[in-house]
Amino acid sequence: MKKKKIINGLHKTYVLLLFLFFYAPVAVMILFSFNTSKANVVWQGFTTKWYLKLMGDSELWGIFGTTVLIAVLTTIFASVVGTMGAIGYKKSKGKLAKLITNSTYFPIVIPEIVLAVALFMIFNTSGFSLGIPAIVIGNTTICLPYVYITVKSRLVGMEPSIEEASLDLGADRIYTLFHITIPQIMPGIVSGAFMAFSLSLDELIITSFLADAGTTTLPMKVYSMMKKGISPEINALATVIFTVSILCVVIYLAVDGIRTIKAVKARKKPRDL
Amino acid sequence: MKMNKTLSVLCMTVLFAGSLSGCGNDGSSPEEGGSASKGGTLNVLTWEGDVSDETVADFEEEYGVDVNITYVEDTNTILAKMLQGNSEYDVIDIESAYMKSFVDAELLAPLDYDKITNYENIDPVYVEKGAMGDEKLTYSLPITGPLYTGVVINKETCPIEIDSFEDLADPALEGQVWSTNATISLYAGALKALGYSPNSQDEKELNEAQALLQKIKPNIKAFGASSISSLETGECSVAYTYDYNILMFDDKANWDKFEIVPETTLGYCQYWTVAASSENQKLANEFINYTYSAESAIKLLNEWGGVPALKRELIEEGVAKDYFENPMLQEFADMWPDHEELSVSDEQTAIMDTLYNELMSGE
Repeated sequence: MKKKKIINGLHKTYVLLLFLFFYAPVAVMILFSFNTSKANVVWQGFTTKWYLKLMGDSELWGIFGTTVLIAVLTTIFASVVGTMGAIGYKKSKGKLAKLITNSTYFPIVIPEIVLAVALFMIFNTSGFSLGIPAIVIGNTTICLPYVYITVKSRLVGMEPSIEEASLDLGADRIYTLFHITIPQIMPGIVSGAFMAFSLSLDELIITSFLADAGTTTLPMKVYSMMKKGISPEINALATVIFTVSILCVVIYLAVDGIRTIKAVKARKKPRDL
Repeated sequence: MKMNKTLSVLCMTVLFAGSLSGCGNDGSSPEEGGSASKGGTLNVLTWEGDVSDETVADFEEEYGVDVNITYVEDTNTILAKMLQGNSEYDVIDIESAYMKSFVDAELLAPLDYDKITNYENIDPVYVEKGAMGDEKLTYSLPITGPLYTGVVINKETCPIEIDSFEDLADPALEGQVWSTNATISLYAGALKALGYSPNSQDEKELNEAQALLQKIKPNIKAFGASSISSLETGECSVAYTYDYNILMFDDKANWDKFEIVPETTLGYCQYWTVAASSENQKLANEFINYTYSAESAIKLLNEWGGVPALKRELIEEGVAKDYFENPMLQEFADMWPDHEELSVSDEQTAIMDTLYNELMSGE
């Protein structure tokens, strides 16, 4: 019994340390959003002025919006193309399929700066304008393999007889794809999409090369602040984003919890026969 | 199922709301009329802290144009983009070390001094001579007063007296030195310490500079882009850096805490220029002129601090009462007449990058 208590205590301590490791930087970031110092290295005093400045800083919100727009578009394209690629791989056989699969790893393996220069040269030579579309294409290039790999692994684990049963029962391939296959692999698609979104959100190198004069993303803005210190206004923005994200998760869990409680109550309620 | 769909719709709505805040906004500050309705767009490429957000907004309102501000991360990237012909920038903020490269590549247009009437507001000391490559200030004007890369000491924690760059090799400084990773500044500092021109491309002299840096390297705790964190937290007591002005404007407590060693300094300036490819050269010159008004300069200094390029009498009423008590301002002004300056070429950068890689790999 005592041994069990010690082990439980160790488990809890381990989990606590893990959470500290993950969330201590976030806590420090939130704390320093209230720092009076503009260089924001050493704590100099408490202020809320950066939040006030943030509320009126339409330029920064514009930059944030551009970043989210690029991330959303990249996620959509990477998810669609990556999923189609994975499903196509599953259906195909032979050496060509293997070659295509192995080549999808290249954007992961190749250093990002090399890809950035290559993409810049391609767009420059072809006359394709730099800007948001070019950035979306560039970001999709690096995000696509992650979606592909995630969906492919989900497909490999899927029971093939389910699709066969659907076809046997008279459904055509398109119907089977959208009503049987995709729902089965949806967790993989969603995981891949989240990965693509987070990769694109803080992508800097490719974006720097492919941005035009009118496009600035949040990572570019933050990186440009390196010379004079990252303003606490960025901390304030990050705190707002973090708070909104946490609220969304809390709302989701609350709604899910209410739904579960209702379902349990419904099961316990005696039925009128 | 229904709840999942509802939550999915909610998430998508939040995401699109976030992305919509970027739609129709190209990074500038739109006024009431909205960005698309204005007459013309000016694309400005600048370093953070060289122009005030308020000044940009005021210019947009007064001239009825959109100003897109892009912040520079690295001058070499911008030079590469412009050489490829893929640049839409009208006004460019260039560091003096790169001026010759831009001028030789014919990337800059001569300034229209008929439009830059606020030229008279600039302190004459800073317009006696321009950066190497544009000594006559045909293509450029200084945005701020002089800045310096040099050895900065924490007087409270530095264990030895430092009078030269070579003192950084003193074993008492082991693990206490921070250094910039900008190769041109690093090797220029070593060359100057050895009595050579900081712009030397002589192989023998560069090898000597390399040998000096190899002696110093065991004392270097970190190479990087910004020393502020290492110095202010006390992680390092000495830094070879260009952040002295930022330190001294961040906290008044730093006025007594830090000092720069004049013998180790290399001066530089940031300059406004107009791109030769710009189709808005008239507006570009008007923007440059606008930044030299006393009001714009005061806004910049109040927001970012820094060394003013304008005459003191025009701005001292608008800044904090003790602004000019900052010892850094007098130090920088005193160093300016005899300062040494950098001017890099592609060949020089390539040689120094190669040497830097060897230094890092321990060769």
